[in-house]
Amino acid sequence: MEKPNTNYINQLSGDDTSFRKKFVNLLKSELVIEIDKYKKALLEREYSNASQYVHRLKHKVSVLGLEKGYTLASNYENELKEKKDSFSNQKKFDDMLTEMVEFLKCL
Amino acid sequence: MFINMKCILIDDEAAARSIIAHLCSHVKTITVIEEFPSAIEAIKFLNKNEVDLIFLDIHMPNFTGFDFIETLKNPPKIILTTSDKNFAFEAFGYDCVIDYLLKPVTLPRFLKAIKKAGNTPNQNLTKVSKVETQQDHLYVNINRRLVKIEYNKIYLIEAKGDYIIIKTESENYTVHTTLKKIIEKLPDATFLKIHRSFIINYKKIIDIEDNSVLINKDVIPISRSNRPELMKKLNLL
Repeated sequence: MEKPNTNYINQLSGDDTSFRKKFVNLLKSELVIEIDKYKKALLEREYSNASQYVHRLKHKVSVLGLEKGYTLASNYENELKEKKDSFSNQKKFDDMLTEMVEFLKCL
Repeated sequence: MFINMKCILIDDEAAARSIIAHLCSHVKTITVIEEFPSAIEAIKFLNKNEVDLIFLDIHMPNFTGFDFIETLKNPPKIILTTSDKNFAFEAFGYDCVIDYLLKPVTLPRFLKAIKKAGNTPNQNLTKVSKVETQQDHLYVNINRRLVKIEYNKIYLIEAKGDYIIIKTESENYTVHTTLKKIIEKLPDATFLKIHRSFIINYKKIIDIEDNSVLINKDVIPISRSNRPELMKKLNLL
């Protein structure tokens, strides 16, 4: 499985450690909130709302350098928009979110 | 290049706003004066404040970046930010959109967009596009689709509040814009504003009686001030 990385965050922050710290904290808190909202929407079968949250999470996926994860998130977002009976990308996407949360905890 | 460009950021995602704000801090000539998590809040702000540049996310719930652009009467320069490549075609349908940044935005790509903002005089955009578009059609944004309408099919354009209705012999199109904006796109040789609420294709006039014209099946009033211009355009015997 593809692993998250801080390449983009490092490139963005440069020598500005204060910004880096602030940005990582923001990423952590917003990620958790968005995951909760996504899961709630999914549970309530609000697939259109769930796709909106996946779209927002997609940005964080790419901020953490997950290129394949970005494609996975895009496909999943489309599946949710189409309101299919089952979502083939859901499991992999949820696993990736868990990986992202764990990774950010270590920063 | 502007001495100092006042800009605002509109994005429902705080991390995305933080990235753009940080990138802006690298450019001395840009000041971020406000950030908004929704386009609706930004509209309220813009009713009272002028800005030179907007960084605008396209994909926001309820009110998208494109919906936002449609509400602006005199939009400043806009740089769109999005996680989707799919909106590029639609994005460049707007004269005010000067660039389209894919998230996550990098500093080199950001600086390139800023350079465009400095090199494109906003107030001349509309005029330039009119000169350049010696075409026989225009595209209008209807429910986030760009629909092609040929000029020679249009016989009437009517203002209705914040919308216009473009009437053709086969179909009517309701578009969120103003008569002022659309007339800048239309060829002078065919279209004329004859009343504050109506633009006609004067080649389609059936007859003129006193202060009204019959065009297709619509009877349209001619305002006193516009009548001489209309009479000048007609091939009178």
